[in-house]
Amino acid sequence: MGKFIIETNNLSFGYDKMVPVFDKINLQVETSAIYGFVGPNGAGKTTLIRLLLGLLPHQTGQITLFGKHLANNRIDILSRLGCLVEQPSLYENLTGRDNLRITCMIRGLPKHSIHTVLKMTGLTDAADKRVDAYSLGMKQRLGLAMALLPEPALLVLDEPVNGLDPTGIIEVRELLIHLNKEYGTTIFLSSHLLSELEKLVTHIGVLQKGALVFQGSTAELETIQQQQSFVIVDTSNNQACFSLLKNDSSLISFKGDQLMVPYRDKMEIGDLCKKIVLAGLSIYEVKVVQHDLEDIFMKLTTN
Amino acid sequence: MTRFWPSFLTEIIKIKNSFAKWLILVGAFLMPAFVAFVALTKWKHLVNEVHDHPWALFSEMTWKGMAFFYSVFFIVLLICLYFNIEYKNNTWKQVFTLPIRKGQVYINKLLAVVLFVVCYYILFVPCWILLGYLLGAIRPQLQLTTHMPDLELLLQHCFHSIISSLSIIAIHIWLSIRFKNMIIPIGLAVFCSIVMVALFQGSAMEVKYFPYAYHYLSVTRPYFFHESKWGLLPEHEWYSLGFFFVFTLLGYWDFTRKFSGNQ
Repeated sequence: MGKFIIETNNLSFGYDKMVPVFDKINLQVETSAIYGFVGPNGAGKTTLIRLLLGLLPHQTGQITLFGKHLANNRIDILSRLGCLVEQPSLYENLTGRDNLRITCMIRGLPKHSIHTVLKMTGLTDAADKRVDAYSLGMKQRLGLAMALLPEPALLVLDEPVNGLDPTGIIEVRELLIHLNKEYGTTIFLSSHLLSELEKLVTHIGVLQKGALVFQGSTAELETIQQQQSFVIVDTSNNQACFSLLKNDSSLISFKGDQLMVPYRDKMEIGDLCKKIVLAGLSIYEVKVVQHDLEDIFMKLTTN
Repeated sequence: MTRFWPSFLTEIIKIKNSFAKWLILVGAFLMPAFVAFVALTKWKHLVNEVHDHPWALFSEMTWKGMAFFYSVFFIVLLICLYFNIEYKNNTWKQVFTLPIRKGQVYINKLLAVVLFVVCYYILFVPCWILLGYLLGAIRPQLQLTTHMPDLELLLQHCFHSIISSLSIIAIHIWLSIRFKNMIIPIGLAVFCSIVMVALFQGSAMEVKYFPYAYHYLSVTRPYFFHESKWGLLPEHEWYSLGFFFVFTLLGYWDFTRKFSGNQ
């Protein structure tokens, strides 16, 4: 297996051949990464996850997981990954334990693994209840337990915290981080909760209108974040201040009456203020405006 | 590669607490109970027909009822309810993301349906005998307690009944793969039952080519119907095996190549 545990090469797909859901996607998920996959509703996140799991016949391009082509090695690949697609698929007429038993028997796993995943997901007490009596959050936990059952090298999760209460979200986040840190499990997950992804992922991919508009590590994202951060400066004479600072950076501009100066690090703010004061200008306001993941997501998906 | 037995056993687990399970349990009891009830209400009339063969009369009454209720409604409903477990719970995607070949899933489902039908007979035989004796105890005039049931004939009926049902089993498994909405296969079965009645009413010999009539032909002998016996089985039961083979292959092909659970 190479550097990437999931790789797609010019992957295109459309339910209707004339209307592609996405076109020539080159997804690259590094081994042992936590890859967050974001995009607005209808961007094709679930469709891509379904393609990666072989649930849809892909039209053109290649899908490689664990260094093997999905088309020819489906069973081998599926035996090494755990997944949760959209709402969990559960037999509601059965108990939680029976649902896990079915997965366990098909995967040829020992019975004690059921106990382990029940404990991990906090479902031990509800294991013998019928699933139709479970809350949405409990169903989500059971779906996660089923995905964790084979101790997979790769977890593919579509909206894993959907329906969970804040405590549940924190528990799932900690569990995923633990799996990643402790066992090197690669996690590929999609979520609408950007603030949640921000706390969890090491890599991120942004899907918009059938194209991957960003893909990279959170460090790369931070660079973009920094590039798009700025300092708002308001002085006694903004025109004079503009003339003073424009030699330092051509990116200085006006935002209304105030000045907008590119922000690199906080050390520079001191130098900036010193320079303005030494020029005999009074400073009324200096404010750093930084983008969070949500702002960057909005920028990437609306441009 | 998933081993056969564990994956097959999961199909048995799936019907726990489901309507399909209750249909097997209640269905096995229903027909003998219904016939026993009819015999109880019309016992005076039946006493004149017993002629020292009370169990033969009870058997004939039961199998005539079975020929209609069982082949059309029981099998079709059982298959629809069984496949509906996956559709209703949206679990096809779970099945297809497990490391098991689609072909094996199909074989497991087919064998599970056959096993459910066999289980139905295993429950039906003791229910039938028990209710016969109960009827005899309530109405001694029917002589059911003073005679022994013809078990050999009963098992023969069961054997031919299963063989003649195989055609409908394969056809309806294929239909359940093609259509998510269970009303379509049920509607088709009702329509085919009407056609079957019309064929019998018209004394049409072509009835031997119509799979929905095979069960009736196996357990009763219409006056107009004459056919040859090829080896162990009558002609129409060989056709039933033929339909079973063809529709099983068709179902396998459809399931492994096209089926995604979203039809």
